[in-house]
Amino acid sequence: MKILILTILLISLSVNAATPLVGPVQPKSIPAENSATEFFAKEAKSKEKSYRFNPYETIFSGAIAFVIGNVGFYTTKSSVLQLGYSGVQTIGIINVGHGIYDVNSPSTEGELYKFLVNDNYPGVSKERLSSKLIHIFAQEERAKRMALFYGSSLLTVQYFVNSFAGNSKSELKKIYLFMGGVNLIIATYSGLYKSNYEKKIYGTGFNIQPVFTATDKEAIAGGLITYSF
Amino acid sequence: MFKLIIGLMAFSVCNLHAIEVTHIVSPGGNFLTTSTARSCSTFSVDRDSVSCNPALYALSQAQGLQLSIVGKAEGSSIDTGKKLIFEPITESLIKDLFQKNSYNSFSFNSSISFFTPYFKLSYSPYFALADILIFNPAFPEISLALTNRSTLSLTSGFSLNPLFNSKSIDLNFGYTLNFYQQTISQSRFSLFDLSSTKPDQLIKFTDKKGITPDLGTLLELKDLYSLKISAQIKNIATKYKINEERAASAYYLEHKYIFETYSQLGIGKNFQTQYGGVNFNIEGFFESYYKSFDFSRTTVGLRYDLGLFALLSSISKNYRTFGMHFLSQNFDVGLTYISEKNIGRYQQNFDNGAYLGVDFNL
Repeated sequence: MKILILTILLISLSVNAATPLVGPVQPKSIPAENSATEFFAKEAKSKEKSYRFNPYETIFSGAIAFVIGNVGFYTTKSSVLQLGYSGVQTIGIINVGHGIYDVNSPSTEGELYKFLVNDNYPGVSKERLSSKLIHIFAQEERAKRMALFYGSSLLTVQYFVNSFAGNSKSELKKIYLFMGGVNLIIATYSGLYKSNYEKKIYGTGFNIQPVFTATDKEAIAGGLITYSF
Repeated sequence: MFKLIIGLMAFSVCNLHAIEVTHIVSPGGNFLTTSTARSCSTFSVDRDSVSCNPALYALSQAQGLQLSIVGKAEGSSIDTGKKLIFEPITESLIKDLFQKNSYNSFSFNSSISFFTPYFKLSYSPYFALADILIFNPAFPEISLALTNRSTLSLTSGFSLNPLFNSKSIDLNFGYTLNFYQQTISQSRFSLFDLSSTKPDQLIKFTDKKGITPDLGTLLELKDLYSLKISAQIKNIATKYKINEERAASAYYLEHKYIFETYSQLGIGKNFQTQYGGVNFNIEGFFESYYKSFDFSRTTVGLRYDLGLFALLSSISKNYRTFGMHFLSQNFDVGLTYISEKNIGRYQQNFDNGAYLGVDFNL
């Protein structure tokens, strides 16, 4: 007997691997006659940190704050210190979000500088320059959106957990609940909304694929909807 | 001979002076100065370390607006101090205090600072200190020292290297000009006085206004392991003087190394490694213009920082601190756990507590 199985909707949410890491650019030789290029090189240089442990140091220090904030929040009996540790939790998550931005951000000045002095493209056409700019803008907007999405998602979870599992005063629990709600809205918005630059480079994010398989005994029909953040 | 020693000991006990009260929260201070018990004058430069030594401003590139608060957030005496500062002093409050610890304290500082490439303008609406000591159980007496100060400060600094034209030293100079208004009360009365006299007649406040500069220098010896030496003089020519008459009297609480003229000398070294930065500093305190060295206030300060996270610690005879500072682009939070003896040998045990610091950067 043939069994017809109707499935449905499989919604999988996946996150595209970010674009390759682009670190700060170290300009090696700057054409003396090109003052605009020099300006870009100077800007790229000024935005480098004087010392950097590694590209993940912001995420790492954010994770430390997140762990210490949670341990402190759930162990201290003082309401003032609990509030302080709640601030530490928040900073930890904000820094994790900021670290995600640092890792994914294209370093606009550096990318443009590299593009302008690249010997492989001695004459830069309007089309090529536009294409490069679209790519950089898309990377930048995606980096910002991912930072906001992950940061606000984690904050949503953190504030809801604080509200339901913490032993805070009832007024404080209501505040956590409210802040969790606000972050949930931000997370949803930043997860779904894409700018035109992002759509152009990474697509709209929705992918609907019909699924149908049939054997002697059964037939399966369904669909797969994928949404990429 | 034995009688003579006993006699000298008895004299030294009888000839008590005012009880010196020190605090790690200071005017113009922030979470960094509090967590290191003000032993940070040679630390590497950032927005916060300018409060440790105005000479660091010469090297600073900080810009923008900062709102900052730091204060005692936990400890057996915090409620007491808050009540003393922010609520009317009543007989029932004093009697309530008497039931608790013999010594209670509270300290708090708040400020809004505007950083530019040329100067830092800062306004501190509240710098509050409250200390209360209850002694003589047979005939209870109370000694109070309450202060609230608001200050407008201008800080700037510059490099003195062009004067020397030497690559082996790096010399910087900085100053802070403070315009302050202060309300002070130093009182001593018996618990029984409260039944016959109103508290506001026993606890009288006086107002003080004035201008006082702080000066600071920072010398880096590049040929000598890049050792850093700092020298600071605080509250130069201030109107705040230690009351000699009261200072000779036992059990009056007198704030020390806060409002009067005093000096600091610091030696430190900074290390930058692949796994974060380490700052080490020893700070010595002197009365007046480098007159009398106070060993009991000598403090070792440490900072380890990695990315947006820093560990801070300090140790001295009367203070042991361990703090964590968490930074982000616009919002910083710091927590420091402390064991302190603000009145030194007059306090039998260390008072354990915590200080909380919050900064908003715009």
